[in-house]
Amino acid sequence: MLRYSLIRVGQAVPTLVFLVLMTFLVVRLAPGDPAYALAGDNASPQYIEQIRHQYGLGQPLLGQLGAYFRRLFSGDLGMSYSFQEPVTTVISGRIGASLQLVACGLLLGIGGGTLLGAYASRAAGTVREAVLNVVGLTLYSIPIFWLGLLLVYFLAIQAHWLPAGGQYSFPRPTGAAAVGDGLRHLVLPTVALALYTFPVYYRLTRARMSAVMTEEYIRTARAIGFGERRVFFRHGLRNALLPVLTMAGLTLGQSLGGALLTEAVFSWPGLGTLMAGAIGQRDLPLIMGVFEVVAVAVVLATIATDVLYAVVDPRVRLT
Amino acid sequence: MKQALSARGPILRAAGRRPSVRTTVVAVACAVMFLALVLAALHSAITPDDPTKSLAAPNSSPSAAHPFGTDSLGRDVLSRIMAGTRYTMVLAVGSTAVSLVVGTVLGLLAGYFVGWTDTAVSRLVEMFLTIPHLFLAILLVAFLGNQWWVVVVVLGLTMWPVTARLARAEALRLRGREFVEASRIAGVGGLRVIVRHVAPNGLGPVVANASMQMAEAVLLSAGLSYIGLGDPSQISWGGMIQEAQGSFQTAPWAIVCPGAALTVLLLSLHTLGDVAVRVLGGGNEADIV
Repeated sequence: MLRYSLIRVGQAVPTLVFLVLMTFLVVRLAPGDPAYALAGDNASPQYIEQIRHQYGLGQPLLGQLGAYFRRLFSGDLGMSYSFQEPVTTVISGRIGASLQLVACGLLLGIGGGTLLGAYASRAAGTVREAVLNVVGLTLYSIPIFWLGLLLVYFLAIQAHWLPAGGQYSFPRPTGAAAVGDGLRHLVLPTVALALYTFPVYYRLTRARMSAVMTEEYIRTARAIGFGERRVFFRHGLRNALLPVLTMAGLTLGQSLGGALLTEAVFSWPGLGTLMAGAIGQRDLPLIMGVFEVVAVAVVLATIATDVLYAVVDPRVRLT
Repeated sequence: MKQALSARGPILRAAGRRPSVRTTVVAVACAVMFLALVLAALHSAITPDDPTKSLAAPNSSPSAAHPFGTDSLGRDVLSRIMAGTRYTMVLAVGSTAVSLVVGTVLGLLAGYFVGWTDTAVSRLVEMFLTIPHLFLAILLVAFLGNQWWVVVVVLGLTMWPVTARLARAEALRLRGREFVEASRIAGVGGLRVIVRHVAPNGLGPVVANASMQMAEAVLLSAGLSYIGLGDPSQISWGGMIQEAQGSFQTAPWAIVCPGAALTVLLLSLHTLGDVAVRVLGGGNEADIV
């Protein structure tokens, strides 16, 4: 188990090196002088010179790459010029809000999709399954930012049920009221993100369940005389959940893309809103920094999923 | 669906019988795609109003003259949606083409030659699959420029791994087949075997997936335009939604209509994609895992 985990971590090293190489290349390929682009508009000549030195832009290409690696490994992601603060400081102030939203949204979306997918495979051929399929396909096709805006329009602007955006009311309530206020702000973005992740897991679980339930070990379990409920959950669903776990790892990056757009719609003060703001300000070091942090987080999460997979399914460890 | 198509023969021959719901849905999806292509090709020649000119009061509600109302600058929303079809379709078709070319070439090479070629390509595929696509696209477009052709290449480069996986699987399947081995034993070079024998027989799943790739391109490009990285010289549906967000309360139609256009197009692409996968083989997300 430990050996498998270590091998898996080792395999991630080339990916991380590749990520760094790619961001390095992107800076070099940008049209114009990269120092000007990274320093931002209205930068003083001294600051541009400083950037040139920091990024090693005066040196030959290999030297530049070396300087780039050194800088990243010392945890220096550069300066954000729209905030006039180190990128790491800006990002660490926002990462908590993103984690909160992503955790709630994915939990609800994956959980709901899996359960309803399993239910739909059970109800195959009925009207209920057809309705679920149509809902699934429609949600699969709705751009998440538009879905978010519709939720805002109908539930926040028209019905006044929930706040339209932000993480807290202003002024922020104190005591127990603060918790309720925070939860109320969390509802709409969570629902939007959940509706975005739902169809992927719905479609996957439904397909896997239909396949698993025709397996021989299901027939065996029925022949032994286990109840249908036990066969369905213990023998069927547990096996169908394995690819769901893989899928959760594989599509984490995609889900984070959805979270970015959700945050932008609901002005949720996380990394997505930060990224959207950085685009508006053309704050390239900040865009780069958010990309690097998110990409590394996804790589690490993929390793975690794989290790988790090995815990759940011992067969994996042998290969 | 495969059953529906093969058992009853071509859709048109099922005369005398009421077409099934599925057949109708597929026909509608085809019609939507046809309409989108026509609009993209004819562009402003057939829009009722000039999509770039202010023609009426800002944010005026839908009326006979402007069925989808006007936006915050008094421009006709219907005309802008029709004109925006071009950007959407050019990006969808262009980036899918990039993805198909890059992914097919690398995938076939990896699956046919196996060995270190396969290892290298497979690792690259895994890396590109792991990196969040929207974030990667934002990074590349923000640094390299937001002209439409840059966006086409960037989206193609974020989508090729799926194509490569499908092509590789087919090449792996075909390389052991008799007719491929026969030509290899006859001394035909590897590249020639791929072009003449493997590719023609192995591209079904890749082609089937094209519709799904177009859908992903539409979603990604709309997302990019929405957060301000679309080509500013082009009308895009995502950009329209972004521009209308400020006057959401007074003119919801300026957001609802372009979003509905996106959803209808994506529904059609997904429906056709499902059909194509069933008929031509290949996989959806369930098989990728």
